[in-house]
Amino acid sequence: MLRCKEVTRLSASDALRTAPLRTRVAARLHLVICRHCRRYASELARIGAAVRALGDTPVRDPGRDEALVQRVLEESGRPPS
Amino acid sequence: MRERADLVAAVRSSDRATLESVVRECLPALMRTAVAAGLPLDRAEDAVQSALVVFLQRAGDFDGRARVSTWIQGILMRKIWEERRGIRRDAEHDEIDDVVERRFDADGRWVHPPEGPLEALSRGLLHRELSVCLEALPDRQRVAFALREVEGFDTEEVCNILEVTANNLGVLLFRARNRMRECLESKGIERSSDASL
Repeated sequence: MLRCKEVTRLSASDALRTAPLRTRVAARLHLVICRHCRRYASELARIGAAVRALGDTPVRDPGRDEALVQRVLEESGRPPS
Repeated sequence: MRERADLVAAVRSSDRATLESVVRECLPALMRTAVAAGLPLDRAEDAVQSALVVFLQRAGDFDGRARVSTWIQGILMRKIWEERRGIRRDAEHDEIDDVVERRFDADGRWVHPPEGPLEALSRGLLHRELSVCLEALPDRQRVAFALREVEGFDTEEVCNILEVTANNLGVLLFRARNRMRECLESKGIERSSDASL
């Protein structure tokens, strides 16, 4: 039988998707009955989403990006038209 | 994930407009990756610049087996590891493994169940805490986490970019996610004890 520790390891390491069908089914059933593991999984999902939202915040100056693009094009011998 | 055939052909023939638009499109994600790998902003720009120059020079070799964005991210990561040889290897043992281990009893059941700040996270709070916890991740864990969670590459693509096996990536993600969770949980507890004063 799948224990909490194994279920959390599978979900935190992205191994659930490639696990054998039997393991995937057992993990799903476990999540239905175990609120701690459910909470752990939703915390991980929320953390991922929150960091993604953080990354979306524009921190870069577009002028700086454009200058970098121009340097790349010059250096690689493809001067901008 | 394979790249679209028409884009593969345009990249391979070094079509200038295509290459320029690929460079512009990939730039923000490449900068985020270089910063996630632990480079300060100016060195991140240098690394991204030289990765993009390599991409333009080698565009003819692009085989389309991976998406072009994955290919360029891989070029960038090789540049960064070249510069920082020390961080290529991951520790066999990491203290976060013990922290997680202590949350379970010998039968693998929770003894210290999760109490992370779920509600604050879902309300979009904790920006400062998130940044601090991200900052505290070891570089390779942070870059694996960012490629997977922020840039949305699938596990196979992240393995490709970082040149690691699926098992290695699993370990990196397990450690990164648990570090983030433990870090935020400890900050959540600090916050609630502050509030009760």
